[in-house]
Amino acid sequence: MSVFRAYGWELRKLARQKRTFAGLAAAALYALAFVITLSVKKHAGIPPDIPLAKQVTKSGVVLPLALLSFATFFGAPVISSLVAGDIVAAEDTNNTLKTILTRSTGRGAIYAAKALAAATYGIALMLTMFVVSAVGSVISWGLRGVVLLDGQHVTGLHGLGLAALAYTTYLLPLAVLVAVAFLLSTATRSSAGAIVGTVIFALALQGIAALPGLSGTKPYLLPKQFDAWQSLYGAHGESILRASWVCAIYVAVALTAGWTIFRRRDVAGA
Amino acid sequence: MSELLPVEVRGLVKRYGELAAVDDVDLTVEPGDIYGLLGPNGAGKTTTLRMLLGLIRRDGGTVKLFGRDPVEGVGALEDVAGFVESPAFYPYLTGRENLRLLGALDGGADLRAIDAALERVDLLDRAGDRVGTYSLGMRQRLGIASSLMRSPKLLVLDEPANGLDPAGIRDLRTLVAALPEQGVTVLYSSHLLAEVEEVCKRVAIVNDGKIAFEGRLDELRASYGSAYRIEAADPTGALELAHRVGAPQARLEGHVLWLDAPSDLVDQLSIELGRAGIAIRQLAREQRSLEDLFFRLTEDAA
Ligand SMILES: Nc1ncnc2c1ncn2[C@@H]1O[C@H](COP(=O)(O)OP(=O)(O)O)[C@@H](O)[C@H]1O
Ligand SMILES: [Mg+2]
Repeated sequence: MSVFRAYGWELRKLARQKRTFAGLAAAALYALAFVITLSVKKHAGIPPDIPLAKQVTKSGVVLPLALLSFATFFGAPVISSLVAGDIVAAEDTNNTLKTILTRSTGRGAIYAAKALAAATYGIALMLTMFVVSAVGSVISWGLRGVVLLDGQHVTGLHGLGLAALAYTTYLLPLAVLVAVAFLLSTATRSSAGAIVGTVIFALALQGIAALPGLSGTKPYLLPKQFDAWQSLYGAHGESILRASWVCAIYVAVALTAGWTIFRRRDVAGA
Repeated sequence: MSELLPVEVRGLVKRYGELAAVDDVDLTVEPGDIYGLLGPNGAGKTTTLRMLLGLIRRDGGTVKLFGRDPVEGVGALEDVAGFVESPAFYPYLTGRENLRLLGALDGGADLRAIDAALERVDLLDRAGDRVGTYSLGMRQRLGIASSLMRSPKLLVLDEPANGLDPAGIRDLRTLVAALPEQGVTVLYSSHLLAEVEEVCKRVAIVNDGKIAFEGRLDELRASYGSAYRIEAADPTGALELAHRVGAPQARLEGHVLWLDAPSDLVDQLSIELGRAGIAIRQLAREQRSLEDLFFRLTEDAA
């Protein structure tokens, strides 16, 4: 009960802050820029390793996938950490932790409500990118059927559903970066620190994944999880199931670490 | 009487590295008290109140609020409300929204109770404005409203007069003075004795993290409220004698010997001075203002 009441107010607080909408607006503009560039430059294509790449100007259900590939690791993670990294640190900036922690809602419920709000923002972000790119692209190229990698013909609506699933799958690895931003927000008490830290974390993991001799561990490292959605189209054969539990472990570790700090921390101004 | 004490603190300690910000503090606040926690800046008042409200952990001692320990979590604050240092709110929400948020965290906001609390601190007409546009004094009043709306039995106020204008301070005093009748006990911290002198019956004076005095204000006046001023022909000799007759706190200011001691001791000293051949040029009893006293207590303890 108290978690949901606190969560409701976390959302209302987000809805009253400019950074929330700045992030969503940036995502929408990025998605729109994708659609516009591709419809203006008739012969421009998208990288061939993106599923259904060749059909991008044949049906509006392909372009959202290209956006998803490009958003990987930078666009969406940076924007979501803009909010997730601020959500605890802002209480330090405003000195409001002491205000909310002396009411009847415990630290656990406050922490959980904030984590839920950060997750919600990640979802809102992906929803924005999906809706803007899908609508723009369907307007440009129509809701036509596509041929999947295994040769199966599917309707445009089916293709759109698959794209929606791909975005949903992308939420798994995104949740990891959101959780890391959230942890850093709790630990550093600085929103800038949390955002920069999350980007460094993402870069470091990419670096680790690129190290030679680590091929055995690769399926369990974060970068691979960002490609998990491609297995919906039969490419790469990444397992969504594996992405689910691998990401769940990363998220659990980050949230537990943050909670260990938040639970015991002294709230004593600056 | 089985009534639980609003505040029972024993041997409270908080260290920051080498510094003992709170050093073995005992406090007992009885139901219906308006209890003053007095001390200069840096004395440890806020740190003490933070431990009471469960915001920071303590390094030693016990704290009981109506019999419950705040380290248990917010459950122990059920009948407690208040704030430390300047109350802080979300600047991008209005005053009323901030209170609604806090009401939700209290388990459900009663909109009428919120407006009643705003009314009591005379903030109703600005309740729809963003807190970011509030003055320090208005935020202070919003802090008081946010505490009152919890209908607490113990109200903890940390330097609540900060940022208030004289009229605001007067209103605050009237508001606080009326609280005991409504069943509210108040723990009121301040660095100014004058601010609490009229409303507090009991005070604790803290300095450097330690209690320099704890008790009724009139006891404070009676026991430390006056001092003897002695001018002797040989001030140093007089000081030595004063120490010898059992007044160790006697001290010299210039050539004037000050003595906090009961009158029989002063009688004895004057006889001894005569015997030692030290002439007394003047001996007078001087009333100290509480302000003076407060300074004495908080300066000497160090
Ligand atoms: N978080 C902190 N870290 C280090 N020192 C602190 C902290 N909080 C308070 N102090 C120190 O503890 C002492 C008491 O501070 P405080 O309780 O704020 O005094 P008061 O409220 O009486 O002015 C001061 O010397 C202050 O510098
Ligand atoms: Mg203080």
